[in-house]
Amino acid sequence: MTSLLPSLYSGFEHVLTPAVLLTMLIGSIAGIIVGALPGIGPAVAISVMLPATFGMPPIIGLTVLLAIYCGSWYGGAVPAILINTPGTPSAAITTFDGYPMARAGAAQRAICIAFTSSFVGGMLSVVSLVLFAPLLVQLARSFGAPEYLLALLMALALVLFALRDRVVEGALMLALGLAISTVGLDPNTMTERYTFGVTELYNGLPLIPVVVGLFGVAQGFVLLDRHALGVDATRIDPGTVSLAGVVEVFRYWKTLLKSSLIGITVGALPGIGVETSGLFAYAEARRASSDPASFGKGNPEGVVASESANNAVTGAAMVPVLALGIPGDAITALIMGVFIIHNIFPGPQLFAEQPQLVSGIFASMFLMNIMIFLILLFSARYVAKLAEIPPGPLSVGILLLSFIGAYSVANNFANVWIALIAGIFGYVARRLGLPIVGLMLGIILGPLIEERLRQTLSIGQGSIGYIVERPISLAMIAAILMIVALSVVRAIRERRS
Amino acid sequence: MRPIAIAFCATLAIVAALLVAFQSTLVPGVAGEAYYRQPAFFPIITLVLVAAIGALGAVRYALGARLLEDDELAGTTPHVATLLAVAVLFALYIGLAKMFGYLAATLVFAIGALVASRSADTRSVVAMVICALLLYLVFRVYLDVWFPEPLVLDWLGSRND
Repeated sequence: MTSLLPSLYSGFEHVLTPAVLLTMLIGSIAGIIVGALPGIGPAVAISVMLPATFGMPPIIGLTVLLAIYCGSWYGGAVPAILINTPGTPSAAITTFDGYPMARAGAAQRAICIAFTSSFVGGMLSVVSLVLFAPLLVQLARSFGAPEYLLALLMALALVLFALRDRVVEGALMLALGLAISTVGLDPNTMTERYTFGVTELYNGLPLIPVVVGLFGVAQGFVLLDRHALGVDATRIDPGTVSLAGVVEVFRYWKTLLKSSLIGITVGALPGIGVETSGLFAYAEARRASSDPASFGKGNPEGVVASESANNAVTGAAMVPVLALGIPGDAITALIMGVFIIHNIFPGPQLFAEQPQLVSGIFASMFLMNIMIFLILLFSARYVAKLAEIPPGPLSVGILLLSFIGAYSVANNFANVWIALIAGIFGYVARRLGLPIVGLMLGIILGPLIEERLRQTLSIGQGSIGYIVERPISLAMIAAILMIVALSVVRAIRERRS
Repeated sequence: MRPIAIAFCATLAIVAALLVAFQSTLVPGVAGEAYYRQPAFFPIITLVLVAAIGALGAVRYALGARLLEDDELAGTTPHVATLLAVAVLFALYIGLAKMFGYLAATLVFAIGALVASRSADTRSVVAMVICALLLYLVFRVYLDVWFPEPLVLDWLGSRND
């Protein structure tokens, strides 16, 4: 803890440069736009912007993508409140009370409440990242290969558990992702695996074109199936900053703190999902309220609960990514991919070898929350207009970005073909309800799981029986078994009901 | 969508099973290495999982398990003709970019895709032209992304010679 403040100070020194601040501003604006556009989530935006960060220094590339990530959660509240259409899935709960407030003529107030709640949630979340990531790193220092392997398996089990009625579909996509991750040269013996003589596949399927295809191109196709929202433009006039709305949030300080804590807890656990955090927080706020009947009819406390919880996920979700190298959802898997592409491998070693980068990430997340909040307070009127863009042109815009994104990775048209094929696959998978998150986690975590599995077996000379003698491993095995047991019990209950 | 879901899962299962069956040919073993150091060790595990879960998925759908579409697509019907047209245009875009250069191909694709998706009003077309120019400026000029010389210029050059 004593080294925390100097470390943060060094982080601010690292990011308070014109280049980082400019990219943070660009990323923040892009994130807000992405959030406010129903149909483009942060995953799509990060995947299509990923190639543009390729030639940038790591801190700048990561800052722009993290700003998109954070900004989109803020922006998602705008169409949720004004047109009852969440810009991001996490803002769905905000529609419950935000839209009735807008209909009652309090759009400006609702938006200010949403932004301020998001800001508080976001800042508390970054504080949790700064406090807990180093603690988790301390714990991870006592990890050997078996513990890392079990931590990875536990994260995957949690993701499958969170998929509820799509467990089989999720498991299929996860297994497929793991299988795809084995294409290329075997890192141990340098033997070709499923390359069929194609030298371009020696390093495996190129990650960025696959990601651009699965998220960008597929989303372009998805939007072609959606109808225009039929926005009533007359309602989109939320005015400018309302200090009363900013201050009003703190009247609900208990809900604000409780919802932020729920968001932080949900964010730090792999697989639970940002949407769930808003739902939990909303349910808790209603339960604790003296007037639960007013929820869903324009109670500002509902907006506070939803927005603070969903924004509190952002920093906390980075805790397992930075400390252990374990992403919990598709977006953090993408961010983990960004690290790997820049030859940075998250985990305890990152904290030891590149403390300046880690503290720079902490500092930039603090700054971007402040920047996004200020931008939104003074630009809500214009951001709201974005919701008028119909899905057709939006779809074409995403496809244009996906094309140049996939091409620019290696100035190679073969990558655009890969993105197109991945896009068609992604669209079909989404039509069939097969979760892409499983595929992404499989592709990104596959090489890590393979390496840790080999190391684990190597320590035991081909046997894994010894891991039950290690206390941390034993606890992790118990946790995995509990997750599996809970899944089975839930499935049986749901079948009976 | 049910027949497609069954076919999708079954195809994955069959392909994975075939890859396992022909493992020794596709990924030859290395003599003297322990089993967990063999190149096919982890791929076999993953492929067996794909085969087993794929088969389970196919059987579940065949027995009438609920098919849950992505939340964003729930309640929408696939516009197959539009989707196919835009996918074909995207494939043509790759060829056109080689032939006529990035900017010209982008404009052709953008306007073609707007027409195919029945969104080609004046505002959208103007917005797409601006979008194409911005992308060109950002990626070609600012990020210095290299594009091959359009083939059509080579041909014209060789004819003039």
